[in-house]
Amino acid sequence: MPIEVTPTLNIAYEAGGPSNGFPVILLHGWPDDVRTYDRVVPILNAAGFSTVVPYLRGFGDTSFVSKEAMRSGEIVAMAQDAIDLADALNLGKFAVIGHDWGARIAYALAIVIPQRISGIVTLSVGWQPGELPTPNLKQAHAYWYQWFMTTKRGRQVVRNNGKAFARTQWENWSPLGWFSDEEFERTAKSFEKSGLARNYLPFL
Amino acid sequence: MRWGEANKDPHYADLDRLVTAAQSISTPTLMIQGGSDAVTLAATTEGKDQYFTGGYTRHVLPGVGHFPTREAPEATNKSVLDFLRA
Repeated sequence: MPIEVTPTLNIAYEAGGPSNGFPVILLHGWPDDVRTYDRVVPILNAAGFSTVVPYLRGFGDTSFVSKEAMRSGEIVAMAQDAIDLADALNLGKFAVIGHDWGARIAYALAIVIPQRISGIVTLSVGWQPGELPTPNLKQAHAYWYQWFMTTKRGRQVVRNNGKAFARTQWENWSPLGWFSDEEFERTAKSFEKSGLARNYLPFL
Repeated sequence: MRWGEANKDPHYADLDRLVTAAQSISTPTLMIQGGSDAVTLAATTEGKDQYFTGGYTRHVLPGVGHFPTREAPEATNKSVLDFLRA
């Protein structure tokens, strides 16, 4: 797997499609990894698009250049990571597809470098101006894991058993029975390596 | 940092201010929402059209949860390709 060295990260990514195709960067979410686009990338490549699918900071073989760098999970940090990758690959104008965190990153990129972004596809997260509003009670209930992770004990659970924690989210977030053990295990490798949210917890 | 319970990396402060201050998005946008998403409820992505000045389409996929590319790749791909080719 190629790794691009950028100022902050060594970014592991998967590339596909014709080298002269219009570039599309695909950004995964949490708890997830590049495998989330396995059924999308071949279709884009067949349609003539060139694809770049990076592992976000904290996932898979993507690593920090400096041991001292703050392990921040801020969306704007990950937007800068995406810009750094696009620069390293000499991408001029490109499209972005983002799911979950990746969607939040896509919105940020559209704000920060609109002249370079032809369009964004955002999956499963919307956008409105300003800081995130405090969710209503129904949405706050759906976000229980985020409140859990703001507690020391919750973080301990995630540190000690991140994989089970991730699987619980997969089970709860979609109608039952939507994934196989194999599909989950393939992706879980990406958060076993660096530890799901072991180095940084973006939800606090 | 999402809910103000952790420190932000000062390295990204300028970028953070820029993103937080934005009142609209001018980039053409396709938003895909699972109708049965149980973590980002479909209601949270309704009625956002006015914030997008360069074109905005929201597709709701009935019966699909939080992972449209995994759960409903065909419907997702059709929307994505139509958008990217436009």
